Amino acid sequence: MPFPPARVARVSRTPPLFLEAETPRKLPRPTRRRVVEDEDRVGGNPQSSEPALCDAEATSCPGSLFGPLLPTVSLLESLAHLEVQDLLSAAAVCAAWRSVVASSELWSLTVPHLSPGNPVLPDGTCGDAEVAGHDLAFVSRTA
Amino acid sequence: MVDDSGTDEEIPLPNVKTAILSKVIDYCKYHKDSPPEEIQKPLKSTNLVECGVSEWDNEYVNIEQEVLFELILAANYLDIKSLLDAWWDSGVEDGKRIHVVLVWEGNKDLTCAKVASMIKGKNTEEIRKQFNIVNDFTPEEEAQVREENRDLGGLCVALRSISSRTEQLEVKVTTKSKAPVLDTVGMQGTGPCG
Repeated sequence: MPFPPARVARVSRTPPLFLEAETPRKLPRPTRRRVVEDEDRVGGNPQSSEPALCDAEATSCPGSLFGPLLPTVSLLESLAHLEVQDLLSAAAVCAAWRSVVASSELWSLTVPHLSPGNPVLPDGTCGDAEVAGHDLAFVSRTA
Repeated sequence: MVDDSGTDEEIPLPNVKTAILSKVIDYCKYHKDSPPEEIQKPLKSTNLVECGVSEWDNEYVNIEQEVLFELILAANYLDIKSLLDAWWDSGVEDGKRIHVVLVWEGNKDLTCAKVASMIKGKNTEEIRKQFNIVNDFTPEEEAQVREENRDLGGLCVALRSISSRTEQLEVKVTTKSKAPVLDTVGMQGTGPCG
């Protein structure tokens, strides 16, 4: 794949985890986001020894506000509000955006019923189609 | 510890400007009794009010792009588990905890939805102009991106159409001329459509 998906922090409805540094007489504050463990990733490659990237540098677009300034996870959460057609336009903006659009984390948010976390395969019909030069065969099963 | 009566201790927030923190506090104050409504996803309109956002919330994010981005940054910075944990440990009621999380998530969701509304309906060049993004694709890469997007667009629309009727799918996709691009059981993590 010419544009590998971006590795982004886990997106959840709970607050993210951080590494903490104790500051005397003050509440602890974060120094950086915690490196996500392999088993914590959604759609990540559990075999990979590389840590998940959690900062903006991973996908920075030179000269843009979205890149050096904003974290990748914020771009991902923004794109998760869009439909497929808009995502395709976004994917062609720059390499960084394309890698975010190609990430499984984004698609688990936009199409959750087709996500790795929801792999139930019901019984039912099967069929095939030709779409944009691809032969597509599908089998569905009732829940 | 921070409890309902506050704290005398200094809480350092070096990465958040006073004006931005003030706006965040405005949001929390406004929603202290009523958590924000969930925003429709995907957005059906560039007008957030038509997507379930209240007039007040819509005005809250109707701001300059730079300020909006600072709000997102502040939300990320303030989204600190340690701060929340400290507050949790102070013995606050469960109901109040849930309310705080809902308000906080609502703040983040609102700012991200505003960014999404600035992308929605725009073509690639318009998005670049909106966010001052430099096209870093080579001409060859750009041509490839266009081709892939054309194929993926048709594929994803078809898959969504099928999935809306069947709920769950096993899908196998092959091309006539190339190696399989998707060979999937349960659409598990193989690319933009899975």
